[in-house]
Amino acid sequence: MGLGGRKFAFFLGFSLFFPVFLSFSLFFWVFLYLSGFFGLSVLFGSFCSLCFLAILGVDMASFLASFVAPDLLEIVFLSLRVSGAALVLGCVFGFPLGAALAAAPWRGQGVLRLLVAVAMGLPPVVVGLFLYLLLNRAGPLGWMALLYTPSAMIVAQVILATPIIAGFSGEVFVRVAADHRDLFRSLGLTRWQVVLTLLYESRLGLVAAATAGFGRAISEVGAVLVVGGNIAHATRIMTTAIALETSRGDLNRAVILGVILLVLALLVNLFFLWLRMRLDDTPRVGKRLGKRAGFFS
Amino acid sequence: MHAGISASANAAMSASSADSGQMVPLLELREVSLWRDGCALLRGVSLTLFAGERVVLLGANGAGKTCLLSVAHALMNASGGAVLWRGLEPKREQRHEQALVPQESVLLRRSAEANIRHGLLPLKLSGREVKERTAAALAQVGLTGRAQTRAQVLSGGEKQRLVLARALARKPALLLLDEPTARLDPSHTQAMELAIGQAADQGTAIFFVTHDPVQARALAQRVLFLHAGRLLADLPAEQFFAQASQSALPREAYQYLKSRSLTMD
Repeated sequence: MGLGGRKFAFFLGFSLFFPVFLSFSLFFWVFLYLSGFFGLSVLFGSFCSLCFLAILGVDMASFLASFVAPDLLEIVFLSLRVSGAALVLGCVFGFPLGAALAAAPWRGQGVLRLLVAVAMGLPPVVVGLFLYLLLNRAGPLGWMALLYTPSAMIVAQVILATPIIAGFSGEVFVRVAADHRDLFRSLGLTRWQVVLTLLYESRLGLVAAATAGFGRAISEVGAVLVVGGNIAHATRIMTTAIALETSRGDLNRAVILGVILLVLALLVNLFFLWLRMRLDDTPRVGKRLGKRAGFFS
Repeated sequence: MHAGISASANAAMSASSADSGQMVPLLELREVSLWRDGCALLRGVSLTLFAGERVVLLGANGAGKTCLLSVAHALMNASGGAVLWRGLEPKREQRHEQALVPQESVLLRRSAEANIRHGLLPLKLSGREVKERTAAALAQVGLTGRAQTRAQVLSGGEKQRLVLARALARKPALLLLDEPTARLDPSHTQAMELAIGQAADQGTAIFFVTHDPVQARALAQRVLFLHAGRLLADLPAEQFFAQASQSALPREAYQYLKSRSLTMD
């Protein structure tokens, strides 16, 4: 097969139509959601996403059929399960770590801050390698038999997401605490009242930190590939499947997976956006765009 | 409104000056100095403030007005001297009797009402009392209709009024105000002054920082003049503004008033 047909369509699709149609369907998803017509936004967004796929040259029949294909759903759900667990654990470890970074100076805080900053940019493959050395049968933790299981992938993603969540939430805590220090002293709040108020006032920033951590977890290939092994029906998730299908030349399937991953990312981010708005909007005033002043504030 | 305030102010002043000898002052600063980065921000400031008094602190920008207020409210620790609350070393509980309205309004990301309720948290009031005080404070500053609005979408003037309401709901013995109306338009300023005047009439001591001598004249029983960290004048308001013509005031204070064309020459 020369340069033409399928391959050319993909080339054209990715270089030209991808940004245009992706932003078009994003527009429908996001804008209509903001305007409060949630049901409509789902319909139009899906329609636009389908058009976008058709123009990419994806075979519609096989695309729709792939939704009922059990192995694809399996991959999607495993992705969500692993990254969801990594998100929860990342928050459990990351928020207190962020608080420790933001707390009054203590011995070793500077070192911890440096470590978190470095860990925020850890190369995933290196994390995977490190975990592999720990978890393989001859390694110090080999007796746990975690290698090539979803648990090992969760551990890898937690290691990647926790520093992001800790770093961002630390920044949030520092800023909120600085803004409110004089107020809290002036009101004469007790220690616990200060802590609880700070946590509640940081809620929007904490959701943003969690969003960033989830993004890191679900988009990651290297570490899960090394410790998960990309075993079909066991440890294959979306990113590793895309890498595999692309290298195998099954671009149709790779694109379908890629688009599903993007749509999932969009949905998850919409959820986080909704959560932030919900947390900010103490009394529900109305559902229309005009009444939601301060949405982006 | 101004006439009403000064009339009751005179009455209160004669009463307080009569028996101030025996009374323990609400707030007392003894030779307070404050150093930051090798600069003296306050030099040997001494003052006493009795319950129910209305004191206005005048001074140019950078005179140390906000620093003095922060030290009095124990937001900053003085480098030297002592700050006494009811004749005692200040504790955390003293804050329950003080309330501060700062220059920049700091509000929580909650509804207006929830902001006031949060301010009442340390006072350990009953649920009903909290409800009553919240409603009363909102009414006092004219924000009843905005009770459920999120604080961060209020206008600048409304925010500042909400901060005042939060302070008033605590029913403090001493209300510290740091140029609360500096950035407000006349109508918001008037609403604030009215609410502050009402609080003062109910016996709250007022410590008001401003660089608006007109406002000072309307609210003050006593005027303090701060210049470069020194307290240059501590006079009854009548005397302070009357002496403006005789140049009996310290030179800096006189020039300050003159620059606002408030001298009587």
